[in-house]
Amino acid sequence: MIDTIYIEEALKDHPRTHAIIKRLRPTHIISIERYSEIFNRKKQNFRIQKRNPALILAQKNNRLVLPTPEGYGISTQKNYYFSHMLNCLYDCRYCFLQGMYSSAHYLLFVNFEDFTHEIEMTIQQENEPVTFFTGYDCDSLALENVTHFAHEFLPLFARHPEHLFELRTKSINIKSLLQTEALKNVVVAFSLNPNTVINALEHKAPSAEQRLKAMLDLANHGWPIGLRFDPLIDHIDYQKNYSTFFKQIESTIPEASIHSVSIGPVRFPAEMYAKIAQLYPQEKLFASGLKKRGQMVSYTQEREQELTFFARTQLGRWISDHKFFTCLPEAA
Amino acid sequence: MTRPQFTSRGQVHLVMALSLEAQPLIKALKLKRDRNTKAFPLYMNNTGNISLVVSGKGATNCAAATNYIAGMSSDAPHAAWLNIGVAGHASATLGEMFFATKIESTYETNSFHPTIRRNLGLPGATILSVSNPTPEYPSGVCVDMEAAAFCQNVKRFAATELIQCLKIISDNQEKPWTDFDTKTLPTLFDQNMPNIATFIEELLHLSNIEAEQNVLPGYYQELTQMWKFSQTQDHQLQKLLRRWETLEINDSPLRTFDATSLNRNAFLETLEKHLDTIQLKL
Repeated sequence: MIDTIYIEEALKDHPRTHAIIKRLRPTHIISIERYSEIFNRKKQNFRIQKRNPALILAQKNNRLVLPTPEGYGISTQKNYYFSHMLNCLYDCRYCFLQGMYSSAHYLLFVNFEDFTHEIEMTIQQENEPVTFFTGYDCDSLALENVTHFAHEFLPLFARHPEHLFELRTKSINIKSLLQTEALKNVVVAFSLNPNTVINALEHKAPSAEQRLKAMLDLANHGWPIGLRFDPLIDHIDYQKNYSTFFKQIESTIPEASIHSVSIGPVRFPAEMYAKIAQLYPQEKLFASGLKKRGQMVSYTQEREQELTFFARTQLGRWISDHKFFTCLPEAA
Repeated sequence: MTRPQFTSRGQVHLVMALSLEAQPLIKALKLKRDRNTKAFPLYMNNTGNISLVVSGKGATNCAAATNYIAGMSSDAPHAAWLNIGVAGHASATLGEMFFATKIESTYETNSFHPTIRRNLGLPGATILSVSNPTPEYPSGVCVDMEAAAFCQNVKRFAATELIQCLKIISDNQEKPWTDFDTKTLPTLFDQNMPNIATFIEELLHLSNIEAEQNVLPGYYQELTQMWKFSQTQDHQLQKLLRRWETLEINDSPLRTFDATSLNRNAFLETLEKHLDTIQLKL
């Protein structure tokens, strides 16, 4: 799967580095001074790199925990996120990561202890419950077999039951969660779409059925489940496709296991959209229905409202009102 | 030896230091000398998508040759580049071929990291480029005289992922370069030809993917013959026609909108409005 690992010189003897090499047994191990030698350099081609990404093991020294952008959150007033990794195993055509970096390599920060420390410091400074999101710059669980991220961070989450933690994923890599006693303050939030959308736009990601099965296993084990319909994709027959999918979820996941639901139509910051559309000029998603509105590229306001209203109404038939949140970064 | 057959239609430029190194490739790839090119010996295949330039030894020659070829083929930004040559190594077997995973030099501060392609069965190695032949064989690296100059120059006009280097070991500590007989060069390249060909095929394939991404959309020629568009409008036209093509609309936009009754501005506006009404079909 990953045949090349770049390792920062200072991390060559790090125990996590050794463990990852043992797990992956890469063909090539290449030593570097700093990850910036490899990652996000000028004249790199994201599209070609994405065909065979390498793994970079690096250390992140600052800005380990950051406030979330305006408009994101589930239940608490204050929200933070942290990214132990940049880039994703999957290749979703609507993902902002395609326009964020010129590299598709997976950049893994192995200094988990520093993240832990900064999360603890952030908690100390807050007088109220806050939410920490993971999976903003990567999928939280997709590379769990390699990183052991969830496995290593669950004890931290368990120490702070008054705060909320979200693992955002499309992955069915849930073994480490099933081997642990469920934590009520950790939401395993699945990004969801019907198979029509998955097949067209979420390349390399598990099918809707596989995700539902993973969600059910987690729910049965006691983990709170998040449903994330973000982004909703407008398409011919969207009502039929989403409606069938929503019914599939309803018949699979008990309402009591659902912690929260968020809904958000597809949106891109305009600058990022330009980069992504240039990377994939023959992509259908970018050929239909998206318009620049202020600093964002999105569907028209009417279309967004129609999509959101449809999803909200359908899901609202069986999921309590207080569980719904909308994820919409500012548009004009 | 059977001649390599390439199925991909991309473009690749091969840069080699010595004529004796290049001869086996010229023969295997059926390249012909381009007599119009005087500055460096340049060879091309009959479809024009593989070129080979013989630069001469050392960084300066290599840089000059790559820049020269880049200038001649500036209409192919999707072209891949490959430097093939010989190198010394402390312990590797003579004739063994490596692909570069990292390129350093004694005269450049920046190292270069070619993106590693799928495992093609070749060993990877760091290449250290030096200014002059050296009796030193640092442990674990291939020592050459061109790779760093090649990469540092080519990266100005090609994506990093389309730049690669292959090095065949010509000398080592046991049999140093001072004992090397250049007449053996063709044999070193001949015996590695299957792997070289596989590598070139991979680069042609990547280059082809890049070329296809940027191909001009259908109806573009017809429309630009009909109207003269400003640069901004031309850009807009290409975008709109690409959307038209991507959404798999079968009819020509010229027939759909009766282009003869519109001016260019009205045409672009009508085309855009029409595309905006089309819902995505997955």
